[in-house]
Amino acid sequence: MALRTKSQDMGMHTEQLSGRTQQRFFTPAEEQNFTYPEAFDVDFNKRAELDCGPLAPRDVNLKIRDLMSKGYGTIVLKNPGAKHSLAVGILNKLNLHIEGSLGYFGCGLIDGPNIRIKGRVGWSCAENMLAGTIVIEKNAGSTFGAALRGGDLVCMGDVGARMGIDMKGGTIIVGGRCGAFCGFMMQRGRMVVLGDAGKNLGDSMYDGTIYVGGKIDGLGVDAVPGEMTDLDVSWLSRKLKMYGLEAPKGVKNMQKIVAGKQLWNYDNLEPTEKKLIL
Amino acid sequence: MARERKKVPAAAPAKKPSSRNKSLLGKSFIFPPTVIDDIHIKSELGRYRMRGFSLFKKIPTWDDLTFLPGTLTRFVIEGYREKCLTQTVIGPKAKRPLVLDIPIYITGMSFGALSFEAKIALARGATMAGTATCSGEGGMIPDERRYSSKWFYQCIQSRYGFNPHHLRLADACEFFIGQGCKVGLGGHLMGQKVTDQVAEMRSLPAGIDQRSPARHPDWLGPDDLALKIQEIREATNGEIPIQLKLGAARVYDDVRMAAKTGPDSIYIDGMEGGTGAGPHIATEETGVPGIAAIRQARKALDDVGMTGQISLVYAGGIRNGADVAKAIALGADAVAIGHSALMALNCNKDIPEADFEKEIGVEAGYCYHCHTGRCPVGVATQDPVLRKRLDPDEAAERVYNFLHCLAIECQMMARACGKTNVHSLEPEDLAALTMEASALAMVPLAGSQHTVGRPDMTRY
Amino acid sequence: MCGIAGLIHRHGKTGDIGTEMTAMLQSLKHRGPDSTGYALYGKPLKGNELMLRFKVAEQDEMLKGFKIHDQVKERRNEVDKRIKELGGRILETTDATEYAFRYRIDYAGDRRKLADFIEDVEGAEILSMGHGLELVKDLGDAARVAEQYHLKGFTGTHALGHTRMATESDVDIRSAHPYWAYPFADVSVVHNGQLTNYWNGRRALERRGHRFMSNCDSELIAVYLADKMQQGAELKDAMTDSIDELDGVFTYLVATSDSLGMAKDVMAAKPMVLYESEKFICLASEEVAIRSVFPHEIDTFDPYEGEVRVWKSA
Repeated sequence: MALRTKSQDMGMHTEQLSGRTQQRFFTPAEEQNFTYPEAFDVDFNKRAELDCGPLAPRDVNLKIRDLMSKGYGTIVLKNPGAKHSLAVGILNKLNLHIEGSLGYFGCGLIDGPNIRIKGRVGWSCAENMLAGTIVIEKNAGSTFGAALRGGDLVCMGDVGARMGIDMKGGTIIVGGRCGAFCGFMMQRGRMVVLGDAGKNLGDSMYDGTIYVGGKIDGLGVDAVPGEMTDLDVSWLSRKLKMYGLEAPKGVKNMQKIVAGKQLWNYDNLEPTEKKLIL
Repeated sequence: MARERKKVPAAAPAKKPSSRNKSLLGKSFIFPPTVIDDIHIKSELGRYRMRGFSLFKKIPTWDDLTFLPGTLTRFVIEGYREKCLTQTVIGPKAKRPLVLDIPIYITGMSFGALSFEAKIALARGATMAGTATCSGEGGMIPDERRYSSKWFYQCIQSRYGFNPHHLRLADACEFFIGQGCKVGLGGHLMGQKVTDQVAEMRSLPAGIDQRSPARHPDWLGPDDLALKIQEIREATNGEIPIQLKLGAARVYDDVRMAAKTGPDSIYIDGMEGGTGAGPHIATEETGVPGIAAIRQARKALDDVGMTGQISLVYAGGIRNGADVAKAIALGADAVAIGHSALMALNCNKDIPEADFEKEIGVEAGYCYHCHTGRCPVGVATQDPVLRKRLDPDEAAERVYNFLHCLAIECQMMARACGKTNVHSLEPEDLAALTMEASALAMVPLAGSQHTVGRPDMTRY
Repeated sequence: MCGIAGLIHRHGKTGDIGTEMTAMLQSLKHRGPDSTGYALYGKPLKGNELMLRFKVAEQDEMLKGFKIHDQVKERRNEVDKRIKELGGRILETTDATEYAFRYRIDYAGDRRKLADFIEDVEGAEILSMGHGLELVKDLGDAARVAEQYHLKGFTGTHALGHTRMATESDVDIRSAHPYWAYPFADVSVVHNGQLTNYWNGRRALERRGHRFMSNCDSELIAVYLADKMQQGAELKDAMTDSIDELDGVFTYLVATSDSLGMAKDVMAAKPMVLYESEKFICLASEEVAIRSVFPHEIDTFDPYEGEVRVWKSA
C-alpha cells in the first residue's frame, strides 16, 4: 500500500490550512480503535444502596457505574419511580435489586447481571440482553424482551403484547398471560407462557420454541404446533423449578409451538436457478 | 490508447432499399418489451421480482441543477490552491462529536450484503481519507472496526448482531428507520448470501431468505423513540452522537418530528439510494428525490429551530463532487455514499477475472444482480472463489482516491462560487435547468427570477 | 404521537384534578413537547347553563399580528353578539388569556347551531361546551399551561390530559388535543397514535354534516364517536365499533359528563398503563405519570389489544 499522500502526487500543498483531504498514514496493524469497554471486577459481598427518588436516570446509571468501578457487587435501587432507562448497559456480573417499578427500556442492553425487580416494568424491558437473569415480581409491559439474545427473563405476572419480538436466543418465562403478536419473527430461544397467549402467537417465526400452559387465542403465520418430547418436559420442569413457578395443568400438558419453516425461502417451490436470473 | 480512425468513404454508396419494417404501426411506451417480459416472468413466478442496484426510472436529479459561480460580481477563490475548508462535524451538540475531514462518508452496508474484503477495503479507504464508515445491518466485524478511525454503529430494525459491547466501541450510533430505495420496508438478504458465518452473526438459520422487519422491535412510535434514544445515551454514557436515518417520504413532517425526539443528526436517504436486494417495484415506486428531500428537511430543521444543533446528512444518487456540492448547497451538512463507493471497489467493472455475460447474463455496466450473491467482482458476494477477485489493498486505495476526488471536486465548485468553506454553499448558488427541478429543489430556473410554484424566489 | 392521561374519582367523590393532571402531564412532557391540553370535568351546572370555552386567535397570531389586539376585541364582541342573537344569556365571563375566554351562559336552543354560528366568526373556535366540561389547550408544557389558565385547585370528578408531538398536522392550538366531540355537550377525546384512513373517514362524516376544525387525525375520533352517539349508540358500543372501523394505530381516552373510557386498537402499538382501585382509576401512556400521583407501591398493568373499558364516576 502506497504511503505517499495523494496530494503530494498531485503536486499540491498539504498545509492544514489548505483544507484539502490528506491521506492518513495508516498501517493495517493499528489496533487503537479496537479496545472493548471495561468490564468491572465486582465483589458480591460489597453492598450499596442508592435512592433514585431525587436523581435523574443519567445520574442513577452513572452512579451504578461508579459503584461498580469501586467493586460494589450488590446494589439496591430504592424508589425507582418508574423512571425510564434505568440500569441500562451493565456489561459485567452484578447483583441488582430494584425495589419498585421501572419505566421504558429498564435493564436494556445488559450482559451478565442478576436483577430482581420488586415492581412492574414498562415497555421493552431487557431489550437486547446478552446474558444474565432478570426476575420481575409483578406485571410487564409490551415488547418485553425485544431482540433478547441470551439469559433468563422471568415475569411472574402478566405481560403485554409483542413479547419476545425478534428474539435471538435466551429464555423468557411468563407466570401469567401474554398479549398479541408474541414471538413475532422469533429467531431462536425459548419462550414459556404459563397462562393464556394472545392472538398471532409466533407470527413469522424463523425458529425457536414457544410453550404455552393455557389457551392460545390464535397462531400467527407459519407457527405450527410441535410435539412435546421428554427433553422439553425435563427442560421445562427444571427451568420452572429454578424460579419457583408451576404450570397450571402440569408441564406435560403444555402446548409447544415451533416454526413451520414455510417462510424460510420465498420460492422454495421452484428451482434455485430461477433466482439467479431475477 | 489511440483509436483507429474510420475511413471516410470517398463517394456516397449506391442507395439501398430501406431495411425498415414498414408494417410496424408503432411501439408502445406503456408496454415496451421489458414490461412485457416482466409480466411474463411474474405470471410464472407468482411473486414480486427482487433485484439490487438503485432506481431505474428517470426522475429529476442533480443533473437538472447547475451552479452560478462568481464572475465579476463575486470574488472567486483560486480553484486549485487557495484555502477551502472541508471539515464537517456530525452532531455538534454531542459530548464527543464526530469530526470528518471531508463532508463525505461511507454509508452503512451490511457484512452479508457485501463481502468481508469489500467491507475492509471501504473501512481502510475511508480512514485514509479521514472520514467514517458505518457497520450496516448484521453486526460488527472486528476487522472493520480495527481499520476504521471513525465508525458508525447501526441500530437497525432487525437488531441482527446488535451488541452493547460493540455499541461502546462506536464513534456514533445510527438508528436505521427507513431507506430511500424502499421506504417503509425492511432489509432483504437472499438465501444465497446467508452463509453459515452471516447466519450465525444474525442468529438465523443459514440459507434462508432474510427479510428484516420494517419496524423496530422495542419502540413503535416517535414518542417511544425519544426514550429509546435516551436509552442508547445511557448505555454509551451520553458521549457519542446519535443519528436517525430516514427514508425520504413525508420529509418535512418526518424531520420535524425526528428533531423533537432529540437526536444529534438526521440522515435523509433519497429515492435514488441503492440497495443490495429489494423488490423491484418498491425500489422504483417509493420515496422522494434528493433535490426535493434536502430542501424539505432543511426547512423542517429551520422551523423547529434546530439548524446548527442537529446535523443533516444526505445520501442517494451521489456520483461526483458536483453532486456533493449541490447537496450541500441545498442544505445538507454532509453526504454519504454507498453505491458509488462500491463502484470505486470495482462494481460493474470489466475486470479480467470476471465474465459478466457468462456469469450474470448481462454486460458489465448493466449489472444489478447484487441480490444473487454471484457478484463477478467479489464485492456483493459471500462466495470464497468470487471474493478472491477483490484485492482489499488495491480496492482501499481506489476508495481513498474516489473520496479524495469527490472532496476536491466539491471544493472546486465551492471555490468557483467564492467560498472558502464548502459549507458556505447555499441554495442561491444554484439554478435549475428544468421546470421539474425548479419546483422540487425550489431554486429559480436558469436565467430567470422564476421559481416554479413559488411566488418569490427569495422567500422559501 | 403523544402522551395521554386520564383519571376518575369514583363513587361521586371529587378531587383536585387540576393539580393531579398537571403532575401527570408534566411527567409525560418528553412524549409531546408541542402543546398540552386538559379536559376537566367540574361540578355540573344547573338547568340550561352551559360552560363555554373558546379562543379567537392562535398564539402565533398574537406574536406576529399588527392589529391583532383590536381584532381579538372585535371578534369577541361579535361572539357576544351572536350568542345574544340566538337567545343566549351571558352570565359570567373570564379571560383565561388574552385570546381564550371562558363564558358561563344560559342557552336552551340547538347547541350545534350556536357552535356553528360562533365558529363562523374569523379565528373563533369553540374548545368545549358542556355542563361540566372545561377544555383548556395551548402551546407549551403542562406547567406553563396550568399556570397560564390557573388550573391548580380545579375541583372535579374526572379529567383527561394530553401532551402532543405533532405528526402530520401543524403545531397550533387548533390541532392540539383534547377534542371536543362537536356538537355533543361534555364529550371529549384524547388520542395517541395515528389514523391512516383519516381523510376518507373525514369526508364521509363531512357529508353527514359534521365540521372539522383542524387537519389533525385525532379530531376524527371525537366526531366519529359523536356521530355514533347521535344515532343512539351507547358510548361503549361506539368505542367498540371504532376499533374495527378506524385504521392505523391508536389508544384513546374519552370522557363524558359521568364516565371515562379507554380503547386500544388491535395492533396494540400504543402504550397505556392502568391503575385500578375502588376509589380511583388512573391511566397514562407511561407508569411514570401514575407515579407522580401515587409515589407508593401499587399494582399496575397494560390493557390488552382491542380492549374497551368504561368507568363511571358515580
